[in-house]
Amino acid sequence: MFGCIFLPRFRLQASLRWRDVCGPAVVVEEATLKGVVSEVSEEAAAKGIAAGMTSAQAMARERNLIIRPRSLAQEECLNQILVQTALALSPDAELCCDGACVADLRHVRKETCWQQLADQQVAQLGKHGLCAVMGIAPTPDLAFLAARGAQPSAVVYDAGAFASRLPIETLEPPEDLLQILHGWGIHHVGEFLALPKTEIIERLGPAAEVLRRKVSGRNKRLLRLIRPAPEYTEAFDFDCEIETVEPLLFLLRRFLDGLCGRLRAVYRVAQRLVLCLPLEDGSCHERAFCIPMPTADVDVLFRILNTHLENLQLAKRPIGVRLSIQAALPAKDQLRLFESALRDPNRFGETFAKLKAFLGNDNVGVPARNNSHRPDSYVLDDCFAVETETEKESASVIELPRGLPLRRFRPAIPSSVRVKNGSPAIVESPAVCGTIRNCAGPYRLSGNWWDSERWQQEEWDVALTKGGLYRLSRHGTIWKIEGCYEGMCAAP
Amino acid sequence: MQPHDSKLRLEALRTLVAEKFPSSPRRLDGRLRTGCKAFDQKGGLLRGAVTEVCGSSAGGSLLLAAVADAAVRDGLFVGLIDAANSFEPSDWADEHLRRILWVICGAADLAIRAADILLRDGNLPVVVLDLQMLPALQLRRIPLSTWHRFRRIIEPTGTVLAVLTPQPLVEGASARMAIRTDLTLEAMHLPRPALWECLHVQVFERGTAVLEEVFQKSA
Repeated sequence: MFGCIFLPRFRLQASLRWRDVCGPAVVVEEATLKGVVSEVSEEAAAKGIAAGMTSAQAMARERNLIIRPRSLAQEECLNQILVQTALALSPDAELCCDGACVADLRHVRKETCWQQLADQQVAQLGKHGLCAVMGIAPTPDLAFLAARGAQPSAVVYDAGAFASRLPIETLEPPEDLLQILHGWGIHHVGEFLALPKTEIIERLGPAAEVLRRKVSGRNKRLLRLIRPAPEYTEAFDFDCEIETVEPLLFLLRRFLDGLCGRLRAVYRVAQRLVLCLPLEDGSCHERAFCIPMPTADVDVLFRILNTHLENLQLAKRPIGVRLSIQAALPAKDQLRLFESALRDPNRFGETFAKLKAFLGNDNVGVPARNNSHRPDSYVLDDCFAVETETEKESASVIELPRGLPLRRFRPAIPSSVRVKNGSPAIVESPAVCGTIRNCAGPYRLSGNWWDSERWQQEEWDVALTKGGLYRLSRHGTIWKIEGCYEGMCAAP
Repeated sequence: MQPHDSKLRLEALRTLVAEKFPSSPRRLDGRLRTGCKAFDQKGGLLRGAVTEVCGSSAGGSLLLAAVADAAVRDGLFVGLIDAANSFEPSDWADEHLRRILWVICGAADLAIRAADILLRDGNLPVVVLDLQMLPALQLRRIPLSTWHRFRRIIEPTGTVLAVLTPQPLVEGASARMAIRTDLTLEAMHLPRPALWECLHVQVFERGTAVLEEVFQKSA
């Protein structure tokens, strides 16, 4: 058996998702009065509005008609939900068209009740706020046809009996072929199938063969398989620009409720969040959050977004919001008995984000050496690296650097240095001054001589007569105090 | 008042307190052994308490080196709040750097705020607040209540908070360590463990009077 999950009025559902809309509504191709109506709600259809009308014609029939433009972002999200629902049933699934997904159910347990299965799927999609129907039939094409007529679920056991009752238009034959069939007085599939097969193909061509295959209970065509994407997305376009953070937070909370529910359904957790805010000038603010300990906990994920948005200042107003979650399998690491890791990595992640928001992105991180000998050259990593077993073993034998760690003055303090016999003898600056008792150096450094960023300097370690150890540097004739090893002074 | 009445009233008071405060904060005692004899022989750094380490800048740097070494040994992470932006990563081993969260502040008020955020988080077992290179004017502006607040925050978490200062500053520190060094340029060629041997550490559990005398003498 094959199951087809179908979202009737797909574009309209996508356009009205996350909105509290009641009353007749239509979706148009363009957001203008001249836009052509592409799908109509039941209430709108009852008022005589049909697809193909212009917006003005539709408005003439119903004054309080809600006209919505298509929401491509939402359509993409709905397709993603459909695919994920189908893939939860079977690893072999096909997205036939927008809003219709077929899953191969031949490997489902034999004792499964098809009707119950279909009802469960419809109910599950209902939790996402979607009005879905499902058809189960012996072939993919019949399942699709069954789904289109299902209310809200239909199971086809006898393909011939089911197909014979269908109007011939449901097979979507070419217009010229349909006219011929109507001319012959054929209005139902059963009448069409009663015609002799060879003769009808000789007369009407291969299109007739295609029609016969669609309703044949033995034509189990191969599915165009789709692979599961490890990304879960929700999006929303606002009607107008927003100026406060509350609507964003409200929507993000609802997004996360839905997304985490979907994650939990497939035993996954969120590894990475990507928040995208399209702005009114066409640009986009995008921020990715790595989840320190992947989780599907809505509160934890929401706090991460909340912390970011609380401190966010944008030059332009957002006109929409898009949230993507990259899924991963839950971590299975078990801490060793005496291993001390972070107590709550997710909370630490939030604290890290707070510190970054407070002090700036370049002022918080795990330091690492840069691939350069240039003084004061370093990089800051975003989080603590996970040590491998080899690194843990090698960490037990650390080669400690020699000498005192430098306390660097940033920026270096310009100073005046008197040189005697090629060595600095007296240093004078607003912060440090005195006679140099002894010194070590020069330590000559240079780099990037092969490009325009070449640099060269000379360094001296000096001890002052009155006490204190400092590092001096000379760039040509300019002397600077780079930092101190020992001394009671503060940088000016 | 009858003794029996007072006993009953005491019982009632105890019950009332037990109802109002069902669980008193759990205090995690213990000390962090750094591996540096000069510190460890004086008891090491107190967990769940504020330890002030004042004195020379080299002493502060060497304490941080010892703490980083202990972090690698015990698999801990260290938060370094660098108030004066003076930490130099190139003078540290990669293994140490991987264990340090470097928070660059540039001013005393920012450093205090950052420390507050980090201590409230409670994830890092060791936090070093380095105020040594800041001007005295900025240090004097730090409200004294800050230290009491920090103490209350870290008591239940067992976090080690070491505050590096040039002069006694931290009101109500559980322990103060005064560090003196007699280092010369030859120290630049010595390995760090040998430098730890050159530190002269004096510990004062409470009060600053004796400590100030020590500083006056060293000055």
